Amino acid sequence: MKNIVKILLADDDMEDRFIMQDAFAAINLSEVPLLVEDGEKALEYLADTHASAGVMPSLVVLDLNMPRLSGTQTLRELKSKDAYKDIPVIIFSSSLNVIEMHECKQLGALSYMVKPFTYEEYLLSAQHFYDFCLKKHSFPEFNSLINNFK
Amino acid sequence: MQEITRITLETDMDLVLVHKRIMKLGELAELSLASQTTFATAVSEVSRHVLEYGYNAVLILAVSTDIKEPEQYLIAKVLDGNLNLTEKINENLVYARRLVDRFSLECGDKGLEIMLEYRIPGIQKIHSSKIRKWISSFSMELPASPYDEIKRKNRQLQELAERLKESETQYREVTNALPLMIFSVNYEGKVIYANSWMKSFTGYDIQELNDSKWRPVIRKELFTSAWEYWQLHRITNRPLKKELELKSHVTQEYIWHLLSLAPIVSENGETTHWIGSLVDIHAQKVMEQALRDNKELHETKLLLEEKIKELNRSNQELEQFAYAASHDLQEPLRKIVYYSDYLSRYYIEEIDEKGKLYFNNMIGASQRMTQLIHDLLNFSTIYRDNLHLVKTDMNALAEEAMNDLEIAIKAKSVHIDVAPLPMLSVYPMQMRQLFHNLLSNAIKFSDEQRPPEVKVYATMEGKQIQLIFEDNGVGFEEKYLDKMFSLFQRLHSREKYAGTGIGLAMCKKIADLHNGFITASSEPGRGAKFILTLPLVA
Repeated sequence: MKNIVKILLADDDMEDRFIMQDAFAAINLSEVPLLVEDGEKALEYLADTHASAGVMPSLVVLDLNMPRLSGTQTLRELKSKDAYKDIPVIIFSSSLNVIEMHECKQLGALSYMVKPFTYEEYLLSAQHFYDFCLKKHSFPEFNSLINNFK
Repeated sequence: MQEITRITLETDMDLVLVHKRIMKLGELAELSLASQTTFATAVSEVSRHVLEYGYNAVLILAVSTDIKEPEQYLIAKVLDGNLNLTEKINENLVYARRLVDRFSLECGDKGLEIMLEYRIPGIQKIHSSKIRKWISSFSMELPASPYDEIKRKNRQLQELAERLKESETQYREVTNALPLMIFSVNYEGKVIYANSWMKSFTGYDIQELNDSKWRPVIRKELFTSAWEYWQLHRITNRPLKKELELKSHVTQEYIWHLLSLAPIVSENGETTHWIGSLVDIHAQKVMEQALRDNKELHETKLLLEEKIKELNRSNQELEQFAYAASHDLQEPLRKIVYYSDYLSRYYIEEIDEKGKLYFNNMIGASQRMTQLIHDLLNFSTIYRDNLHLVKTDMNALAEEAMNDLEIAIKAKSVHIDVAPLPMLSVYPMQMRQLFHNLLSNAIKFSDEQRPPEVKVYATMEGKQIQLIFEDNGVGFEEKYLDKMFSLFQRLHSREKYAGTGIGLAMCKKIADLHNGFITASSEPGRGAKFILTLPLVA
């Protein structure tokens, strides 16, 4: 059962990718994350998997500041394709402002998360991503996030 | 009656003239020689008496012209200024009375008037054209004697002098009545003549102005240069025009005048003196100045607007820079925090005590920096763009801020008393941040000596509202007031109170954002009072 859940994570920061991989491994889910280094690679992966009728990811997690294709640009591309526009997207960034939030919400992202500061929090984030795919966890919606933003 | 000629009676010689003239008039009027002599004798007698006792006497020879009268008369009228003459001569005129057809003697205010009339024979009226001929024949008459000649010239001179005097008086009256100074000056610049306006305006007469060299009426700083200017100019012998200020003795104000001077050159080419005028041009000067000021003001305004634009641009750039910088700084910091957290969790037992201390210090430092960047990021995102004023319940904002601070409030058992606050048009998120920061400070700087209490209330100050946050904490010295609201300024050591020095700077920025201002008052150990003043926005 576990093996059919795939989460596609795009982040240009190698350390962050490593930490994320480590976190998933720590909760015995090292097969779940598919880590790519930027938006282009994420779109390529989706296209290839779709073409070869492979297992499409249940969730896409996008960093915002990435070279070449940024998180928002990737999000826009992703949501414009019928084949993957229904895959939920979570924005995963070290910080973002209200304008970026509004933009992501408008482009169809499901939610947004600030990158954690501790190992414990990383483990929790990995678990939440996975649970979400099993519909055991839900993320706060953008509207409430924007309202809480100080 | 129509006057033909007149003779002043001054000396005995005049009696001869009187006789001659009457004989001539009689001849012109076609009187017989006997009649001429009779009339002349009568008038001569009167004249002789008047000459003897009278004063300023004059004899007027005339012809009656009353058309209602059937007959015409030659008239000899003697006027005399001596009022007491009547009695003295009355008896002596018996003979004269008998010689003429009519005789009258009247005494008026100005003196005695004796009139002798002699009827002109014939029924023909004497035309006015004929009378004119008579008048001119008398005025053209050749002098009867050298005495007559001198007398006549003398009279002409006197008349001329009279006319000249009259003309000069008239001229003087005109120039004196003008509200401008007309004057003449010599080579030294001394006033020779001036109309009365010069004294009316300056309050000084010619003598005083010359003695003081005009010092009291010229601006002190221009006194020397004004006279130097005159000394340089006078050798050119050319007209001069110059604007200068003169002090009015009535208002004691300096009034702008236009000085015009022109040299008067004599026949041999020398400048004898200068004549000139000083005209009040103050209104014109004030107008010019106003126009100039207006222009300058306009230019300054444009310059100012340009500066404001520049300032806004640079401010915005700075905010964007602060945002970008703190955003990028956060990234490596997050890694430091992450790795040190990881290391402390799994490897802390493998290092010695000193290593542990240093390690914990490092974690503390990285956490402080995280807070600093977090605050800086918040600070840099406070600007008016994309913000809208919303009518907000201040009590609700206070409630929310207190909820956020719940843990700290409970930990220190702080009693917070929030009075009913008004609804205000504010930027809600920013205002909540301000409430949060001020309440957080009040909790943080509580005094251990007494149970911490915080009061929040509002007062109206004209068209402004004041929100007051009052605590009974440790307080501060008011000399640090300005410093307190600046970015990164802290009044306490980090060991005593944690903090980034951004909280109050943020409050100030939020107050500015609402076109209000924030200040505080305190005494060390007596608590502090933070006062936010906001304009009432409808």
